Amino acid sequence: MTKEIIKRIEVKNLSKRFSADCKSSIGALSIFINFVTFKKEKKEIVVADNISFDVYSSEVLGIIGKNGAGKSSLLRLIAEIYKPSSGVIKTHGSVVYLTGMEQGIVAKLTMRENIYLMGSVLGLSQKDIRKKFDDIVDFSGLRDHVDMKVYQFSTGMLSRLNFSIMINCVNHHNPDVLLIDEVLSAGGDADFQEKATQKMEDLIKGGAAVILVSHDLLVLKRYCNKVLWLDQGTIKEIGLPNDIIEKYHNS
Amino acid sequence: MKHKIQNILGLSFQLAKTNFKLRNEGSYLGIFWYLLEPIVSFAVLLVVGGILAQNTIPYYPIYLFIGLIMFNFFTATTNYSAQTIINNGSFLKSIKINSEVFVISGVMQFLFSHSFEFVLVVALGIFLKMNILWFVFYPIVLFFFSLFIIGVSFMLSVFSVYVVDLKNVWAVFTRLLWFVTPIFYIIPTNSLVHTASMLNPMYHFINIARDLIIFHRIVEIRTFILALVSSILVFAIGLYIFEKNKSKLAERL
Repeated sequence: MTKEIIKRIEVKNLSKRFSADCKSSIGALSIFINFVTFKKEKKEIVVADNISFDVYSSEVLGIIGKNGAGKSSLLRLIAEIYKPSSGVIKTHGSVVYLTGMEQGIVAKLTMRENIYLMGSVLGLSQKDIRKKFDDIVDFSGLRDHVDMKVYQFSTGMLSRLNFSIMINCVNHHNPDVLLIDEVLSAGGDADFQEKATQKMEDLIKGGAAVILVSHDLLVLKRYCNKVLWLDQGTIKEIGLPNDIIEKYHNS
Repeated sequence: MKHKIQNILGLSFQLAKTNFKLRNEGSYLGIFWYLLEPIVSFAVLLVVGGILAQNTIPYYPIYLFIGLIMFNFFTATTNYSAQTIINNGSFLKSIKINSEVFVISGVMQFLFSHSFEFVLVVALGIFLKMNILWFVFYPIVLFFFSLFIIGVSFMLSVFSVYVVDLKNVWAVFTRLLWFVTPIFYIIPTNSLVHTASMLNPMYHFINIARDLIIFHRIVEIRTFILALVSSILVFAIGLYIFEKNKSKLAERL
């Protein structure tokens, strides 16, 4: 299968700073007082500092780094959830950002209602969801519980439902750019894990430009063509998976 | 652009439907429970207002009920909007979503309940043997009133991200506004309060609706046009503020 190689993600001199304020300084009263007394306190956190890299189609870029190194922020910047302070981010084609979506499930609704709700939040029309509905239910293996309220589900069933909705909706969008934030493990029992991993693998190898954030070094070794090591918002190193992971592991 | 608006409205409708269902969850009497609250405050005020005011307003129950449900619509929606972005923070951070939906769905959700309440008003009108025909014009007023409420909601939802305790401030403010708006009483003309009320948009919207339904007339054409124009203006300003700030919302949550 030959496919044209396109530059899907282009990041150039990207910087992002957050203004850090503590909870007490954003109350109505303190804002008023600060305004009247011209007091200005500004602290900044740098989550990305002069980052540049490209990702091409069918390429998988892994990102490693300690907690708080700016991995998730970087993905959110590419997904346009955050706006960069300076620098350029260009993406070509449809972008899907995948992260843990447990918060989207509403406990007081039935499984059927949850599928419709999550589907529409993830950008599918009612008609599309109706078409996908059986796929989602079949994949989750929870056919008998479709009209049961979700608060009675076990943790394993919840993660089955969650993963099935997510993966099917993502497949529907046929993403050109896939940003995965620590969601490779699906939860659930061994059978489901295997099925889920297979599905995830198909997705990653489906020809999209993929960025994979994970703490699981084995996973990174298995899928990535390139690994980027982030440290406090800057690129510490970028290169072949085995070299970088080795260095990261020893640091 | 057209596609985007369609998307926003479609998703808002889904969310509104879900939230509405959740509020009445698990009870066949769901809608009844929901309507009980306005009915009770209506009954109490009817008794109290009837005794206190010795009023001469024709169809006082209708006068009261319209004021009550319109004000409720405003309070419920704006207080919801003052926290909706915060409450949906995890959503905004984990998917690329048009954040307008959280505001619009709130307005829709309370528009549903407002419609149910209005059906009660119509029923009351039939019971009082009023000329029902004039109720037909209410949706026009409601349309502009909703624009006004959406505008205010957009502004509040943005400010709520920058000012953490805005929802408390707003709750107190709407309570005060409730008392200065003539819902169960009439403001004597030529008084200072009357002049001050001219600045209260709620006074005008409720007045226009009452004049239409009870007195079968449109208030002074000047006031009428001013109300329409200002509701469009508030909507436009609210939308502008929201669009300007929406890309910064996620990172503040």
